[in-house]
Parts: sequence; C-alpha cells; structure tokens
Amino acid sequence: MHLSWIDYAIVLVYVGGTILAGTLARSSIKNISDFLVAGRALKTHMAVATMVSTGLGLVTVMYFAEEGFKNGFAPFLIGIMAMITTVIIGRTGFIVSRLRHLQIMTVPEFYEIKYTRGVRLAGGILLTLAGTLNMGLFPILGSKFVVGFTGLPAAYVNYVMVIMLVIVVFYTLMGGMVSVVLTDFAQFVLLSLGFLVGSYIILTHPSLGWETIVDTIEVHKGADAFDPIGNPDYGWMFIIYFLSVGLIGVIWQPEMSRPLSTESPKVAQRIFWISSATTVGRAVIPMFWGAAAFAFTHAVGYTGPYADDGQYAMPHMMGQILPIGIAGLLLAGMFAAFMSTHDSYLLAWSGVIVRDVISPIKAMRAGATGQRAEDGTWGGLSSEREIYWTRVIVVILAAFLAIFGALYQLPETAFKFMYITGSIYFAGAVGTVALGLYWKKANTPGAYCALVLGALAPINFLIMSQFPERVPEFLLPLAESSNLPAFLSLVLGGLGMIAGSLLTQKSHPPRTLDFSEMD
Amino acid sequence: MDIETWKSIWHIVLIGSSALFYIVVIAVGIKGVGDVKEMVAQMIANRDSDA
Repeated sequence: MHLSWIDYAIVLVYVGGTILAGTLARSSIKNISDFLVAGRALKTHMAVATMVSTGLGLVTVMYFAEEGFKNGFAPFLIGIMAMITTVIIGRTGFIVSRLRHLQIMTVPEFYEIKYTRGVRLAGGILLTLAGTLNMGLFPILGSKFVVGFTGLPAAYVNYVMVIMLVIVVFYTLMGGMVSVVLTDFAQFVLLSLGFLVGSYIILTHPSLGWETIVDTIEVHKGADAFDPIGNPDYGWMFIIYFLSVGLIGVIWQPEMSRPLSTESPKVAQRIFWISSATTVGRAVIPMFWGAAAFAFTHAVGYTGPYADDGQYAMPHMMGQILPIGIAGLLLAGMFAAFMSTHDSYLLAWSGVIVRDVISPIKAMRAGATGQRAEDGTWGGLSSEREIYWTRVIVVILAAFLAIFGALYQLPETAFKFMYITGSIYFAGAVGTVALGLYWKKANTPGAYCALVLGALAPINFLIMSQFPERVPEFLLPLAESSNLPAFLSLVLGGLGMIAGSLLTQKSHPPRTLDFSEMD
Repeated sequence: MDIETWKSIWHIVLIGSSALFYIVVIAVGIKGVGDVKEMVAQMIANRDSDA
C-alpha cells in the first residue's frame, strides 16, 4: 500500500459528507420533476459546475489517460474538436435551447411531441440499450483506478467495484438529481484541485517532466504518437465522425439532463458557452497523465507490473508520486468523480427506462391520450410510481453493471467503446432530433428509419468484434476498427430520416413545432 | 508537419487549455458557492417544514 491513514481519512470524511447531503436532499423530492431535473431550478454557475463534472468523471479521466498511454499526444486533437463543437452549441443554442423550450425531462419525450408514442418507445428502448452498454465499463474502470492508486492486488478489483457501486446506488436513491448536483459541485472543486497539483508534480518530478515524457514517447511510439492524421487509430474519418457526434452528442441523456434542469432556454445555452473553455483541458490533462504514466512505467529500473497496461498505469503512477495528504485529496476527488458520473448516469438511464419505456407501454394499454399532465406525466404511471420505479431500475442497472464490468472483454480502448456504444443512439438522433427540430418535413416513418438504420452498424461492430475469426473477409473493415461503422452509422441515420420522410409526406404529414415564443 | 512542430503545438495546447480550465473552475467555483448555499438552505427548510 502506498497511502497513509491521513489519505484514507480524507476519503472517509468526503464519503460521509456526501451521504449526509443525500439524506438532506431526500426531503426536497416532491415529484418526478424534482427527482429527475431538480425542479428545473438550476442557475448558471451551478449548472456549469454540474455539467463540467458530468463530463469529467473518473471514467473520463481513465479512458483519456488510456488514450494518452497508448497514443501519446495525438489524441489531444479530441479535446480541441470537443471545444469547437461546444463553442458552436454555446453560441447558437443548437438543439439545446429548443429542447429546453419544450420542457421535456428526457430526450425521447420529444419523440412523442414531434412524432408518436411508438417512436418514443422505440427511441427509449434504443437509448436504454446504448446507455446501459455505454455505462458498462464505468464501474470496473473506477475500481481499477482505486486498485492501481492504492496498490491493492489486482485480484480485488471486482470486490472494490461492488463496494463503490453500493455507495453510489444508496446516494442516488436518496436524493435524485438534487443529490447529483451537490456531489457534482464537490467533485468540481476537489478534482480540479487534484488536476492542478497532479500536473505540477508530474512536470517537476525528477524522473518525469515534459522533456522526459516527450522523449520516451517518441522513442517507443514514433511519429504516430504526435500526428493525429497519420495515426491509424484516428485519421480524417474519425475527425469527421467526432465533430459530427460532438454536435449531436449533446442529446446524450446524462449530458442533456443539465440544460433541461436549468431555469430557461437562455441559461441552457449559456452553460455550454461557459463550459466550452474547459473542454480541451478536461481531455488533455488526463491524456497527459496517461503519456506520463507510459514514461514512468518505461523508465530504466521500473520493475512494477503495469508497463503494458494502459488502464492501471496512470493510477499506479499517481499513487507512487503524490505526497501524503495530496494523494488523499486526489483519491477523494476521483471518488467524487466516480459518484458524480454514476449517479448522473444511473438516474438518467433509469429515468429513460421508466418514462420512455415502462410508462408509455402502460399508457398504451390503458388507451390514455397523448397529453402531458400538470405533473409532467403522460397518462401511464403516476408521478409517485415513476419515482418508485426509477429507484427500482437504479438498483437493477447497478447489478447489471457489476456483472458486465467483470465479464466483458474490450475490443479496442475504453474511449472507442464509449463512442461506438453511444453511436447506437447518436446516429438515429441525427435524423430524429436534429432534423426533427430544424427540418419541417421530418415525420414518423422517417424517425423509425433513422433509429433503425443508425443503430445497425454500431451493434454489428460490437457483435462481430467479439468473434473476428467468424467474420467473412468482405465484412472485416466493419469489424476491425470502430471508425468506419461509427461514421457509417451517422450517415445512415441522417439519410434514413430524409428518405423515409420524403417518401411518406402525404400518408404521414409531419407535426409542426412552434418556437416563435422561445426567449 | 514534422514531429518537432507537433511537439510545440501540443505543448502550447497543454499549457493554454490548463490555464483556461483553471480560470473557469475558479470563477465558477466562487460564484457557484452561493447557488449551493441557497440549495442546501432550501433543503433544510423543506426538512424542517416536513418535521
């Protein structure tokens, strides 16, 4: 073990404090709107802090560090692309302002307003599939951080994962989005402090420093570690895909929960503008830590076990080089980041399952009209039952995550897995959400085509990459790297909406949305 | 571009993005404390009124 009792005491104080906050938050929950979108009361700075925190979870730090470990400095371009798309959304309010104006709580709710309840159900099922798969690696990556950082034997990784999940589930069940917002703020402060101190120590450490890290990466990885165009893991196809998905990815439910929780469409737009200044740093700092971990584990005299493991190497290095007290602060910050991401995602996906799958099925069976009630429900489950079932689904999802994390074998890096699973939904959303909001001819058949066609290539990749030896040769480009299927999915999703809508304009006239009164 | 140019670019990106990140964190952190206080006060008031 590398840490002292002082470090563990800091972590325990933090966990105790957050549980207390969760208990307090429970009294604020009166209805489903309070539970899922904090009563839509978030002000600008609180909303920015909570949104930055969601995008800076422990899993984000881990998968960006893995990219830096594997590909050196080339992935820095990902941070720059993320900033470009966030600036565009912040200046134009693209998608965000209009969805906030419609006063929805989950993105598939928009499908019922614009299309039909059937599209909402289909979108809810796809979003659930994409979201739960996407989240599948979160707990195991978080657990690997703790194990690598503290120096526990790797055999403990599954036990640590279960303990961390139990704490997060308890906390999420207590206070819903109000708890999430409070943890996010604590994480925002703690992790940022950890980033600052961690980077300073890496840059001034006698066996690391900028020059040593750059030289080690160049010797072992060559030009590909610096040139994102020449690096086969990225290239132009990835760049076009990432820029497109950066714009449409805003509809990812955990991300969208924040703008939907704000006071107004203007605040929803403004939080993207302010947080855009943090997007490059959020990606580049952990990538730099990953590159530093590569140099650390490839230094002359290194005898540790993680020279070839891009996931354990970074926490292992940080656990070794940070002084007492600072190590505890970073571990508490990372644990806060773990809690923040997990509670956000658990709440977001369970909310989608209940509001966009279970409740619409109940409403269909009861023959309810497609009208939204005062309390935000749609004729299926009551507000109280929606909270009850959201809590039940949180527990079921956590159990699934523990099993998936322990058993699944990654085809590529964790970062690529996140994006290909997200594309199952993103791709269809190009048509259903982006065109649905801005193209008057978008209709129901087009929405079905977009959802189905967009999901095909990513699902195909996830299955084929598990059994590459059985894939016919002509299909290998779709199974060897996620770049082509991810790009293809966006094209198919957009084309599906356009073709499906244009062919059925007379039989299925599109519904018109009115944004004339949007501030 | 040659490797040396890329190295310079990434060095600038690391320093510039870190600076931007911390400036926003400090500004939002200071202003956000007021929002947090308000939210916690609201929660305590709710709990007291329920009791």
